[in-house]
Amino acid sequence: MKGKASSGVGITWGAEHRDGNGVLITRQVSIEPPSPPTCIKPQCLLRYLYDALLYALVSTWHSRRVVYAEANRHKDILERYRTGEPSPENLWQAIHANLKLTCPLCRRYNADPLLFRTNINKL
Amino acid sequence: MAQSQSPTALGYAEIATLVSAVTTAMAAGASGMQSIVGLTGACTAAEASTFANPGGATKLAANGFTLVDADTVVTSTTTVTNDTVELDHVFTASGTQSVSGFAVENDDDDVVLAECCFNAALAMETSDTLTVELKLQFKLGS
Repeated sequence: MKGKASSGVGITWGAEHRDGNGVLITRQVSIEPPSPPTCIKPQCLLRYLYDALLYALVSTWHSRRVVYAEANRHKDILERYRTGEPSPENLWQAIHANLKLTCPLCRRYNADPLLFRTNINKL
Repeated sequence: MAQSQSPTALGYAEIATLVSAVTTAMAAGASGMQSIVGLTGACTAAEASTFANPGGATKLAANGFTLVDADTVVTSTTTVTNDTVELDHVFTASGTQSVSGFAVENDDDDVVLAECCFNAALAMETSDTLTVELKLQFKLGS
């Protein structure tokens, strides 16, 4: 019988793009994918599904906001699209943030397309 | 007494020190973290990536993103003392260049130790800077 200890190597990274004057254009961070489920109970599997869906939506949001910020490097846009903070923290926020980022009027007026409210910083 | 096994916290620090400090001159055939290069094109980081084709992308050889020694490679602490090798570098663009990620290589410049692909490609212009940081942590568990 062989004993086995699971050791690993973790990678985190960050990248910051600034123009020649030091003005921030975009900041990127690594996003950790969810850990695989460690049990087969329904709540474990559902938790994993939730985390995987949230991961996909947050990743999509970061990709979109970087594309948007890079395309608008000399324009005045919401700071969160340059810094990535605050990042959506749950499914509700992630869905709203993605919808908002795809809506030009919502981006411009900082309005949530589902709630019709403005200045919703968490979304 | 039941059998048991575990890597140790001091062991992590020792491995990190080796990875951050071993140069070509010290060990034939293997060396530690030292170099960095920018990537362009479609980029997906994968364990199976090779030196020739990190992230499935193209290694840049111009506009300030060519393979160079990183500004700093040091050990740092993430969970236990000195369990991490940390690389920091600032690229300065010397021309217009799309950058989709970066790869970190050994001192021999023949093995990619780690690669990172961005959320979306960056449109670098002359004099733009790209400050990158990569941390490789040795730890228990995945």
